[in-house]
Amino acid sequence: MILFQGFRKLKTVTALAMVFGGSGCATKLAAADQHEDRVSPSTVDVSPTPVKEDIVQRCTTRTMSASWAEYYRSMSELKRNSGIGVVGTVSTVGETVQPDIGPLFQLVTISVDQLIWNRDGKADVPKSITFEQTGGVAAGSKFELEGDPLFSVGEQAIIFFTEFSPGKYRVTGGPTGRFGFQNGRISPVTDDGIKVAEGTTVEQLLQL
Amino acid sequence: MNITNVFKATKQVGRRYKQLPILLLVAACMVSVLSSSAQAYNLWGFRWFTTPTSGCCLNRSVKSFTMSSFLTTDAWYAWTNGIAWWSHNNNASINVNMSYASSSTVKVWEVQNPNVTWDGLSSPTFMGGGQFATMDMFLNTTWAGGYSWQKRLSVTSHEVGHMLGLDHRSGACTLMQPDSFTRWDSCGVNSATADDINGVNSLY
Repeated sequence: MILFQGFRKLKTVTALAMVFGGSGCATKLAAADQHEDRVSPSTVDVSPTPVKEDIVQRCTTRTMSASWAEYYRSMSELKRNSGIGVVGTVSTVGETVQPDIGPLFQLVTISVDQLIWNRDGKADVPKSITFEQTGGVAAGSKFELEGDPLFSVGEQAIIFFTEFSPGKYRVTGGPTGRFGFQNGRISPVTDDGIKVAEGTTVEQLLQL
Repeated sequence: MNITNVFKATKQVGRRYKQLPILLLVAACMVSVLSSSAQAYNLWGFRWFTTPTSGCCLNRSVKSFTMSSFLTTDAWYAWTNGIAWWSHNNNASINVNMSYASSSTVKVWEVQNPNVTWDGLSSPTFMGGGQFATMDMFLNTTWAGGYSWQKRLSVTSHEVGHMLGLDHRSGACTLMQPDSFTRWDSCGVNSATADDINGVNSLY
């Protein structure tokens, strides 16, 4: 019941503009700045006057920082803890959502181009997978988890997933479970995860 | 002592003094390495503005919270201890005091979200001049609910470290190690280490 508390009282935020698509900065203004208790400058109890442009400046990235329950630095660990791994293309990035309690997030859908890891021989791997990414665009700023950049529509990626309940997926190991992918070559997303040389192929990645 | 021995002794002293510059160089390198490892913490680049001009300490309020405002008592204890253990009152070498107030820009929460793999998260907003404006800290008990209380404390203490202005530090057994397995299961760290304290004290 409470497992989905995060989804229980969602306030889907108003999208005022869709200029660049995906997670493009300043395209989606969320309700976070309307939630007085959370970010209104009126609650600020430190003394100096806020520099206006610093608060409302468009396209500014605001970094959040996390402690990770899953975080892998070897490919064997990542594969052992992932049900599937796919090469895919991000097809949609939903509006940024501000839950009543919890950080901003967006729902990302990836179309599966190739299944590269299937630990349990799952027969019905979906053609597209929707998952939650912490962060989003709100109040003219991009909110992003450190080391886990927001996905953009059209972006190709390699992502390892855990199906934590039937039909529901999350990225295994946070930023350590995803890799950039372009022209058949892999690039790491974070320099603190699995060490992948620039230009590594999928076959080489799976052998690491 | 005959004259031959005197010559031998003089030669030995001469050799020793020849090696002196090398020894001094090695010593200087060791001091340099040790001092750099003592300042290995990483800073987020933001801090709370209200630092006193004299005496101790940064006094930071955290919004009062009651047990009933959390889904689990485990989360309440984890935040209470995480905040208390980072305080000058419990460790005189830390230049920070934290207290509870009915209203504060620092708030702690509990979420239960199985869609993500973070067990703790700090979400700040910023003002100009490298200052935090607000900070919301979350404990995700989808994960942390299954931890021992000591490991849960390693998560909340870690987030309080962020709240004070520390960034992650990988590759060392410090509180700011980004993953809980390494931080607690491998390193056994659930409160501020000397490195973390040095980082915070460099800010306040």
